Amino acid sequence: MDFKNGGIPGENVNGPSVANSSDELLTQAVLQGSPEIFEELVRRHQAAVFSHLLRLARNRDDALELAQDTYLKAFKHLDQYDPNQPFAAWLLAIATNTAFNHLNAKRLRKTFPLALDPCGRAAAQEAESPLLQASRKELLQRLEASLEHLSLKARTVFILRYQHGFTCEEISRMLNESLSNVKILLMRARERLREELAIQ
Amino acid sequence: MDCLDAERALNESFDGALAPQEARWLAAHLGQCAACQAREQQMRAILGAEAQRPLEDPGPDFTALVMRRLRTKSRPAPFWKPATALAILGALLLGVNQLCLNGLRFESLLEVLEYTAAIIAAATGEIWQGLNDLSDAAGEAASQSSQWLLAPQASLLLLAGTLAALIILLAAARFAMAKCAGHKGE
Repeated sequence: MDFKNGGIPGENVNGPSVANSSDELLTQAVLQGSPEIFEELVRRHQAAVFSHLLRLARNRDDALELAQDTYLKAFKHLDQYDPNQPFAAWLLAIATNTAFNHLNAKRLRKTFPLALDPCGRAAAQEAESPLLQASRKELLQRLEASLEHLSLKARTVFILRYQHGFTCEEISRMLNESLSNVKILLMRARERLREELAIQ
Repeated sequence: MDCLDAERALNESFDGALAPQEARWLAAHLGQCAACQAREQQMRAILGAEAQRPLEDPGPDFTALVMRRLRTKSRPAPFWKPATALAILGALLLGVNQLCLNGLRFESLLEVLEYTAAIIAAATGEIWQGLNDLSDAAGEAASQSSQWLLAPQASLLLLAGTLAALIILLAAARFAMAKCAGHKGE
């Protein structure tokens, strides 16, 4: 696939038909010889891809580089995309793998201590936690700091589930993990975050 | 439903997989258990904040940057490289043939090949080595210039080489012209 033809004759990449088309239709158009259409797919998902990578890599320059690599890989392997699945999920799966490879290379992966707590906590102490009174911005900052204490995989699963809104089944496919493992990672991540944020 | 059941139901709820009947049981339990209610509220606050976390923008140039990299990656090698290589090869072949036919005399096909290899070596970067070989080959050929004992196979080779060189030069010229036209059209 190359850019020699420059797209479907008469088709404007920024035109309304492209802007209104679904991701799946756009991928088909790219595969059928209109690589310039890929620009719309980049534009649509760049914020989600970049945000995801920024939170995994925790470095803006690395995230920018990884985001570009993600799109290059997506373009190269676009014929492997299954249109029955959300394009965003496929793209973020590539982004995640790209980030994992990058972070593995940098040996930044951390271990994740298990911190599952049964439901026997002192109710009054939890109810009076300052967490609920915290402003959203402050909460987000504290949450981000706490997320760093999670393993890379747990953090990834948490972000994909709660920031990007993917289902556990989708995350399972994206990360090639079993559904039960995804749920366990999520449960541990929630508990860990709740504990950390409650005691701060 | 006790607190352990409520915890399991809460987890299923946050996983997005809580059955309606269990949701009703959970609601009833939360209504009468302050501990589980606090736990549920804390969790909802955290997950709600996460869901509303704004996305970061990679910058206004990001799309153009990606598309530029895609174009660069998908573009074939610059046209002048194969065209130049073809032209050099054709010129070398022509030059060797001309030297063989007009100036130098060789005793055998092996000598012709040695001479050609020396010229190619000089042209591809091994300049000193190539020039030495060329000098040696030329000197040796000149010392035996009284003999013109080129084998019939060598004559055929020279003829074929000349034809090949002409074809290659023609192909290189057409290739370059086609590429130039293509670039102007973009």
